[in-house]
Amino acid sequence: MKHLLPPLLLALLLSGCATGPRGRAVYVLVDTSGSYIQAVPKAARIIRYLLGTLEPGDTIAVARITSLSFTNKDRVAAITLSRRPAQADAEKRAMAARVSAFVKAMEKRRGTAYTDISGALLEAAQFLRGIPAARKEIIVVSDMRQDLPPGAVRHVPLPLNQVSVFAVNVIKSYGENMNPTRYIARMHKWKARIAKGGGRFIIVHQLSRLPALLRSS
Amino acid sequence: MSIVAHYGDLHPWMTGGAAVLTLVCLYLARTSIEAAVTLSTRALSRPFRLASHALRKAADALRERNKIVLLAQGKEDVGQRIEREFERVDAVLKRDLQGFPVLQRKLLDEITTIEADYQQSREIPPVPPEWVRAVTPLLKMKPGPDRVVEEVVESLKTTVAKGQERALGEYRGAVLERHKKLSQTLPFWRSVDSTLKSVDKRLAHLTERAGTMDAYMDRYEQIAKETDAIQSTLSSSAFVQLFVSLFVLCVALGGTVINFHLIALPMSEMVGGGSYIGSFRTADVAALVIILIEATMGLFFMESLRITHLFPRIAHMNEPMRRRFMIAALSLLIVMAGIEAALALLREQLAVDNEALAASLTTHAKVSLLSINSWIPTAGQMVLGFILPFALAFVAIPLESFIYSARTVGGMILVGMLHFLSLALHVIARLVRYLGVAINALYDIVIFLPLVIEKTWHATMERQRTERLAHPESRG
Repeated sequence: MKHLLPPLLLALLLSGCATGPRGRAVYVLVDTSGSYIQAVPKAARIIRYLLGTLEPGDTIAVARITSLSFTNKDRVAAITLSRRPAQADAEKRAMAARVSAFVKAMEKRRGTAYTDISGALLEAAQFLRGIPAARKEIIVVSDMRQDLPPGAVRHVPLPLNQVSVFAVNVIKSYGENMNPTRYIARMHKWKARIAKGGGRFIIVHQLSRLPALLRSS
Repeated sequence: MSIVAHYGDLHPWMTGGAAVLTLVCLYLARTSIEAAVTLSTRALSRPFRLASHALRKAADALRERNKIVLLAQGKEDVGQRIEREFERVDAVLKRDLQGFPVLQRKLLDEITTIEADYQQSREIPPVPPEWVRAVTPLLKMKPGPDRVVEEVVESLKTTVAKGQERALGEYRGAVLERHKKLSQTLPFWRSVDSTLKSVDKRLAHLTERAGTMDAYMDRYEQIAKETDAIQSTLSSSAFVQLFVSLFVLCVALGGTVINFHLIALPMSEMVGGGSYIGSFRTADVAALVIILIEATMGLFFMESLRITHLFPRIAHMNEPMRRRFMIAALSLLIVMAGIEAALALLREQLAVDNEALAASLTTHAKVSLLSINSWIPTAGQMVLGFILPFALAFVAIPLESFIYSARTVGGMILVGMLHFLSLALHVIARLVRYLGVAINALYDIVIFLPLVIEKTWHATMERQRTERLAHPESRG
């Protein structure tokens, strides 16, 4: 027993160290297309809520969904919070200020002509792939209605392995209101595409349920 | 499928024949089969029996060991108590009886003074003057016709009365003087009374201590004699100690949890909030380590004060080294308490900052969370942070008590378990053996017919043999 104790302790220590990455990485996509730009202040509120839930060491990024979004130029802000809580709080404040500035800027601008959700998801997936986090989440504040400009190719697989995609504040169009099957089919299509990429698609019908869904993810 | 059922499809006489054949075979194989069953069950029961025996021996050895430990602990405990009583008596003797010669001198002086006063105040009856005796017959003379004599007698009477009055006045003066002397001795009497009462009180205290020591000595003697009564007393005392120390340790655990929550958050500011050691947050581990270091320092402090006796090496240190060790432990404890107080302050600041951030994120406006009495929780947390390490230091006492009593109680429980296991194995061994006997009996029931025949044949043969022995002439 005396000889067994050191290897056992070592094994315990090593098993403890080899538990993989921890923390959380959140990528928020805000639809700024013409049909959705009026919901940007709501997206800002969601971002502020998310900032409140983040722990030191977590990562958050905010990006716009524009006509062609597979680019980091649409990224409004991104930060990995400091491991020191006081510093992390200061960074959260700075992030909140940048989001407020973004909302203010959007108030003066017109929405984009097209909506490239796939490109934004691809960009988010690439960003998250480089972050060592246990929980990876993409929050899409959009109506999830993709409208690509002519010539844009987006029939590529989405590499969303182990990523949870939350569709928040999905607004139904008049036609979908008339015929819900169109809305259901549209959502099914997204779900299938994200699942094919290894991710999980969750539609948040009630904003108040977002915290619980985030916790369960 | 049974043999009878197997032969059930055959002709009845064939079936009967097969049954008889089977019965004969079983009868012929009886000895071997029964011996095999007996041997098998014996072979099976033997390990159980051996294990039961071994466990019983182990339980007995453990009980003996427990007894030695229990008595040793009891002896040490009573020895310490006796030592402490001796120290107390020594202190009483030094404090009270050190001044006994002075007290005795004082008493003697006072008694001498009282005696002198008494001598002075003693009543000496006044002696009547000589001339009174001389003139008494004259005074008793009856008045006669002579007038001169009558006048002389009258004159003598007057003179005697005056003399008596003067003597009475002197006597009264002397009595008054004596009373004065006696009243002067009153404070001395009081002083003597008080001194004697004080001596009595001190002696009563000593007698009481002596009584306690006698009780301890009786207990010590009982332990030395290893009586059953003292073992029972010590065992029940160990149980009580275990429960009491467990309760105190639970209370201390509560304090530790509060302490942990007090410093876990600010520790994340020092070691990082998002780093982990295994599946635990580094900040939590660091907070726990700090608390454990405080507890260890408290343990060392108590050990160096010789309140606890968990580390013989500390107990065997020489006096200067022990003192240095005690100062080092206390210094570290104070430093840790200071760190905790600082962490408590940091915690409060972080909490306020977090609340402000949460408020600003939800309301999107700068919110002032400072209130008038915001210093109260801050001060409270700081004081708590400073005091808890010292409170935690006292855990060493119930911890020691728990360790020693758990050794005794654990040993007793283990003995009980070993005895129970031994009994269970013994019962299993017996059951296995009786199973063999039961199988053999069942076997005999199956082949009862050949056995009856065999028995009858044996009886017949025995009868014939007896008859032959009884009538040998009929052989010819």
